[in-house]
Amino acid sequence: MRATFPYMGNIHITFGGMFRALGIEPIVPPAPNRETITRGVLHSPEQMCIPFKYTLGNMIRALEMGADTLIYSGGTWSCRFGYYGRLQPDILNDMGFKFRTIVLSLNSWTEIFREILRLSNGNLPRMAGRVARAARIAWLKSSTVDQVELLSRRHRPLEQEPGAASRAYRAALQQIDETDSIRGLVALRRKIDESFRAIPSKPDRKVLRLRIVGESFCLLEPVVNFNVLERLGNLGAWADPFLTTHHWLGFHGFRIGEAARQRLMKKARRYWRYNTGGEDENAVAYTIQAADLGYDGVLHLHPFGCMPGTVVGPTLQQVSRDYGIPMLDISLDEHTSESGFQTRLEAFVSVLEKKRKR
Amino acid sequence: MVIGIPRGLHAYSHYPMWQRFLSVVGVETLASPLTTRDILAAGVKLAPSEICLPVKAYLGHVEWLRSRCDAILIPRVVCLKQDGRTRFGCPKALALPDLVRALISPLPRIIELNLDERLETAGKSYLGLARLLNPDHKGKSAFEQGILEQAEADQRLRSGAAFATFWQGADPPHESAGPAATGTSQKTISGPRSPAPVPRPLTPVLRIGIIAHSYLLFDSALSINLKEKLENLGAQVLTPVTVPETAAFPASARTREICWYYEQELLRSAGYLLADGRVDGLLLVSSFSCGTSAVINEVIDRELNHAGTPMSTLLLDEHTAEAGLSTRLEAFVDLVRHRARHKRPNA
Repeated sequence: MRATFPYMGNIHITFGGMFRALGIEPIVPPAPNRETITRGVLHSPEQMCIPFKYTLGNMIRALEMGADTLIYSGGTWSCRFGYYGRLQPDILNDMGFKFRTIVLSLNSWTEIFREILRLSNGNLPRMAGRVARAARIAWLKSSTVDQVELLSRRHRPLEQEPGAASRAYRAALQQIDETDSIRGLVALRRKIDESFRAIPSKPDRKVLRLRIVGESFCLLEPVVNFNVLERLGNLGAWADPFLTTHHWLGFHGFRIGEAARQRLMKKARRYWRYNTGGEDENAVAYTIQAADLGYDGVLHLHPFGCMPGTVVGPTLQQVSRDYGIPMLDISLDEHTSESGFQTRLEAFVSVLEKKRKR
Repeated sequence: MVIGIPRGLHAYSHYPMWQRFLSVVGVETLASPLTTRDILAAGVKLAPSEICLPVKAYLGHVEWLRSRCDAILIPRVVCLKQDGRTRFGCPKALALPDLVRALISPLPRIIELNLDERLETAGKSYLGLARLLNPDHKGKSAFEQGILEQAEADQRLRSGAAFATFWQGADPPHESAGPAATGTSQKTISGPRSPAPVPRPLTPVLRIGIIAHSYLLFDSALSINLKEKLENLGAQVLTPVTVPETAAFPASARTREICWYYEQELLRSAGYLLADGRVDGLLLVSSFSCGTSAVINEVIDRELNHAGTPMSTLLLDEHTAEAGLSTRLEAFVDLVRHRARHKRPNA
C-alpha cells in the first residue's frame, strides 16, 4: 500500500514515520509550490477555500508519484473541511486517477483495523506490536517537531546572526524525518536542545509577544502564510500560534487538552456560542487569553471566503476593543501577494512597538 | 412589547411560522420592509467585506428595526433533523446573533431562537420561547398553529403562487394603515426596481430551473428581479419551492452526505428538476463567497447532471449590475432555446 494524506506544515514527518512503522509506504509530495497551487486551482470549484485547493494540488502530485490510497480525515459539520474527503476523490476520479479512499471517522475503524491486520500478514500479535511501535514513533516525532518549532520561535527574535535559528530549525527537522528508531529519536531530542542553545543571542533585546489565531491550515502551512512565524521572528517579535501541528493532531485526534480548553471557552461564551469550525471558537478564546497574559497583539489568519473565519472577524474585533489588545486580520488565498503581506506585518509590528514605548 | 423580525435569511423559510406563533403567544410583531437600496446600503456599510450578500442585507434589516421595536428575534438554527439525519446550518446561521451583537450597537433586547435538534426538539425550543415571552402562555397551541400556517404557506408556493403570499400579515404599519394586509403586501414587493408586467408566456414554453437559496432568489433587491427577468424572456421558471414534497432524493451516495439543511433541499430540487428532462436549462444562482454553494454546485455538476442539461452559474453581490445580469440571462435563454429547438422542434 502506497498511501498519501493531505499535506500540512510538518505533519508529513509524523505520518511518514508512523506509516513506515505500520508497513505502509508513505508518499510525500514535494513541498507545495506555485505548481501545486496552480494545478489545485485548475481543478477546484472557484469559490472554494484555499486549503482545499492546496491539498487537492498535493493529492494530484502524490498520485502522479504512485500513491494508490488517499487518507482523509472525515466529519460532517458546518464547515467545508468535512467535505474535502468526499469532494476531492470525485474530482480526482473524474481526472482519471485510480486509487482507494479511506476517510478516518468512527465508522471506518473496522476497515482500518482489517487493513493493518492484512499488512501484518494476519498475525494479530505482530500487528499489536507494530501498532504500539507506530504510535510511539508518531508521538515521539510529533512532540520533537513541536519542540523544534517552539525553540526556533523563541530563538529567532534574539539571534545575533540573522538566519541562524532558521538554519538550525531546518537541520533539526531533516534529522527527525530521517530517524526512524525510538532510541535515535530520544537521543535526538537532547542534541536538538544543544544545537539551539549554541546560537549566539542578544538576551537583553526586548521582543514583542504576538499571539496568532485563525484557521489551522493557514496557521500550520508555511507556504500559504508565507512562513509568517519566521517573518515575525525576523522582525523581532516572538510569535506564539495558539495551535501547532502536534496540538492539532492531539486535539482533533484524541481531544488532548480538552479540559484546559473548556476553561478558556467559558470566557469566550459571552461572545461566541457555538463552534462552527475553522477554529473560530478557539480564536475568540485564545485572543482573550492573550489579552489576559499581556501579549502585545493578535494576528488573525484565515482563508479568503472561509465561512467561520469571515463570520468570527467582527467578534474578534469586539474582543480586541473590549480587552484593549490590537488585532490584525488577514485573509489568505492564491492571489495574496507576498510583499503586501510583508508590508502589513511590518506596519503592525511597528505600531505595536510604538504603543509599547508609550 | 413589539418584536421585530428582520426580513432576511431564515425569514424566507420560516416567516409564516414565526408570525403566527408570536401572534398566538400574544406579542406584537413588526417585520422590516422588503429589502430596499437603503437597507442594503446600511448593511453593506456595517458588514465585513468578505461576507455574503444575504448576511449584509440581514444586518441592514436589523439596523432598520433597532430603533423601531423593543426586541428583535434573531434565530440561531444550528441543527435540524431531516429524514432521520442530523443537518447543520452554515457557520453564518450558527453565529448570527453573535455577529449582530459584534457589529451593531446599541441594540434592543435580542431574543434568540435556538434550534438545535441534537439537544431538544424544535417544539421544545418554541415552547421555551413562548414561556420567555409570555409566562402565562402554554405555547403548545401556538406552536401547532404555527406549523399549520407554515405548511399552508409552503403548499401555496408549491402550487405556484407568487412568493409575496409568504408575507401575509407582514405588512409594516408605516406602509399600510388599513387592515387589508394581503392586498398591500403585493405592492411592497414592487419596490424601487419594479419589473415590467409579466406578459403571458408563449406556448410551448421554455422551462428553466433555478437553484438558489430562497433568501437570495426571492429578495428582489438582491437577485435584481432575476425570476421576473427570466419570465419576461418567455421562460417558465421552476424554483426549489415549487418542487413537490414527495420528490425522491437523488440516489447518488455523494449528495446524501451533504449535511447542511438548506443545501440538502437544493440538492433534492436539482435532482428532481434534472431528472426526466423536467427543465431545458438550469441556473445555479449564489452570492459571492457563499461557501456552501461552492460545494453543492460542484456536486450538482458532477453527480446529478447525467443528461447534460445546459447549466450556468451566476454569482451575485452588491456590485452586480442590472445590465450585465440581463445580458447573461438573455445569452443563457438563447442558448437553451436553441438546444431545446433541436430536441423538441416545436419549442
